[in-house]
Amino acid sequence: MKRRILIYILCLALPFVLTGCWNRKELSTLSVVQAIGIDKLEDGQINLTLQLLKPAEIKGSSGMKGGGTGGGGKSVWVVTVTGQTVFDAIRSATHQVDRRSLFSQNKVIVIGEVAAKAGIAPLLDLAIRDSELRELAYIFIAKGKAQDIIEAENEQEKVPAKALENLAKATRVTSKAPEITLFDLMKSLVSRTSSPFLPGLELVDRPEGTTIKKQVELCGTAVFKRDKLVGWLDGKESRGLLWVLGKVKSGIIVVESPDAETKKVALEIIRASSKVTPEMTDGKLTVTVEVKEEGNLGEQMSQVDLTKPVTFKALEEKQAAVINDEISAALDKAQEWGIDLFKFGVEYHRKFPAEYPELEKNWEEEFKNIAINIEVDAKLSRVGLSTTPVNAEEE
Amino acid sequence: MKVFVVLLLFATIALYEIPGLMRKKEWPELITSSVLLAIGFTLSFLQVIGVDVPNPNKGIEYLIKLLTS
Amino acid sequence: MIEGGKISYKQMILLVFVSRIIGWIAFLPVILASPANQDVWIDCLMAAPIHLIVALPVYLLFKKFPNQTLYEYSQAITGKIGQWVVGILYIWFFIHMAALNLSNFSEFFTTIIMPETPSLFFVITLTLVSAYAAHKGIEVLGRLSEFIAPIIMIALIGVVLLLVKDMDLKELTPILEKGIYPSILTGLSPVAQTVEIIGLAIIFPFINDRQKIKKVYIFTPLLLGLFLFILTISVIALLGDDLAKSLTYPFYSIVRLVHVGNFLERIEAIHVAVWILGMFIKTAFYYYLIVLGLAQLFHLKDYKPLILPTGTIIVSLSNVLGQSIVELREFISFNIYTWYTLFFILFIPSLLLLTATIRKKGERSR
Repeated sequence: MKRRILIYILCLALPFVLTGCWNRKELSTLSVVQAIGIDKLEDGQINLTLQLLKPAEIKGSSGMKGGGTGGGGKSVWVVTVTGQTVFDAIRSATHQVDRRSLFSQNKVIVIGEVAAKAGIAPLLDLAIRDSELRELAYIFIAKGKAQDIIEAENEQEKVPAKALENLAKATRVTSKAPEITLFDLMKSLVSRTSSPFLPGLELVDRPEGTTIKKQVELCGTAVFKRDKLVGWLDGKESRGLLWVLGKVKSGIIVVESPDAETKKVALEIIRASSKVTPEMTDGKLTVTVEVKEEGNLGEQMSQVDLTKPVTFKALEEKQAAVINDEISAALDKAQEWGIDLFKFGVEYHRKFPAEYPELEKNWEEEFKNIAINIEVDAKLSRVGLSTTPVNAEEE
Repeated sequence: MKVFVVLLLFATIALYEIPGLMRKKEWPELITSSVLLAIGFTLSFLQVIGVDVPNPNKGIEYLIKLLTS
Repeated sequence: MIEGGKISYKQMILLVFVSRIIGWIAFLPVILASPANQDVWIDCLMAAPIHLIVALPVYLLFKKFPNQTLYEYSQAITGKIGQWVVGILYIWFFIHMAALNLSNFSEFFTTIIMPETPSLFFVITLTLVSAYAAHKGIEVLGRLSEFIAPIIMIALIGVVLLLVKDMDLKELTPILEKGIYPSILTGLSPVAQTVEIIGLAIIFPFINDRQKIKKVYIFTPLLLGLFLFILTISVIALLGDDLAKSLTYPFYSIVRLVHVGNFLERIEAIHVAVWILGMFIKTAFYYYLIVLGLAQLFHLKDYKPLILPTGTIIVSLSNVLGQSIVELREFISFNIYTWYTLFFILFIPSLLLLTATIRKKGERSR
């Protein structure tokens, strides 16, 4: 009987335990951070820009009912705060934001150019150390201030951070900028020889008469030495970099048409892979980069029938030449800067573990002097729904 | 406040354990559990009133460093 | 007889498995152990053979004294005073291990999920639940682990499978950069953490079929080695050894990286759930070893009255140990912790075995 009473008391006590504990977070007390922009001011202070979600606005104005309740309202709120460190700035934000900031839904981190030149590792320590921020957030470098990027609105998306996230994912289609998450960045920052690179963002003016004055656009690759920004690669060089790393997913290669040099042909990259083979003879370093690519004939602007073996072969060669050109553009720039973006140091570590410690000591100089052979094997496989252009010239 | 909670907690444990053992006249059990409870009480009481209890890990570390080096 | 329960050899293996693997899915300290480069996965292959060697004295002692626990046969071997010395040493050791375990538990929780909750709250909750399980005896512990071990295995393998697409096996090369000897030494590290080896010396007599002890002796290292290998290889292949070393909880960090399409991500709650389940078994197991030892040492009829008083010691000790995480890490590092535990799981049993052989105590093993 005593036992039964005890059990009843316990059962009655259970609901009080189930309600939650110290760290409960109710949605109505939170403001959800969607994007973080980090800038450095001239006096060394951190300028932090947070893009906060306004759930009520999103609900009111999305979907079929459009123009209903929240038509004119913005669905995000951008807050800018200053602090000695990133964490300090985040906490200072509570002086403006009445709710607690929730970072676990954060999609994008943008770092300003000035801050990036001073070093990104100290800025990201919090993101790595704190358990609330995601390692899968995308990272960008802003040409100019990160604050402007975070503040910029987007025509398509109610939440601009969502647009930035989609931009990062869309790099797969052109391969002219890398797609880098915080996790990828952590991996490359920890390496002793190779250097990180991040996609860039810039603000461009839009034509007169549109509601949104400025728009965010992807622009190439920001290149780092250790964690400090040193330069930029344009679209062509960025793809050259991705070719070597085997990270090209898709994209368009434009070549001149055989038999009609002024007309262009667009070839679509279907798949690509790469193999880096480091060699060492008498202390001289040679790296062979083999790239295998498979493409489709995507579009032609000439009237020549390209689906003949001879012209097809010529197209493949032109395609290989373009890839070769892109790769050597990236390699030249990297060697000029002495920045190993291609993980050649890692490859040497794997193949020559005994000699590697010596190489590592002076890797920057060694990298500048590596002789590089590029071998491109480009194939074309399909031609699409039509073989000859509809207005093909009679021969 | 904390001191009170600790006292209450240990009193509860003692009241829960001791009468049963006394009734069954299990003296060895009673002595052992009382000694254990006393050790536990000393450890927690010292911490609650703010005395720095020496960390046993440090002693072990010192010994091992002495032996291995 | 203090303990009337019997468990099967499968339950025994799984009990040790759960109790051990749960530490590794959080800390995975083998990554930090000396040469500490991409070769750690080879160290993990070394772990199983080394485990067999380290556990050999315990196994041979069981052969000599199949009806007695460690606490009992230490009396048969070394006499009354020897038993007291050995008994007190091991009881201290298990109390220490249980307290360490609790500090790790609360550290993990306060770091990862609930930074503002007082750590004492987690410690006391877990201790109370484990006390109940220990109260119910070895049979319940065995059945619990038989029930929970498959959940843990499926969760771990599931997570690893979801991550396979992101792994880069090239991170595991170059192989044997610093030669094989550092790898063998590092292989000692996960084995030395396997405090359960000596735990087995205490629960061996409770097996329901004596003939199966050999299976426990052989399959435990194999199962543990296999899972250690899977955990390590996935951590290294995903993170690379440099990054893995700089993370507090490497395996938890890779669980956070799971993303399949746009719908399956943020499954780290699974890791936390598994961790709580395993920690419960582990604490209850250590708890049981302490109270059983105390009861056998003091020749008591029952260990149950000792459970709550012991709990107060563990909780307050864990609070002392866990005050500074930095100091705790220093202690758990390869240079200190390995030798400390090896003293208990290898040195003392070997000494006992040697004495028993010289003084011709125990049954002749054929």
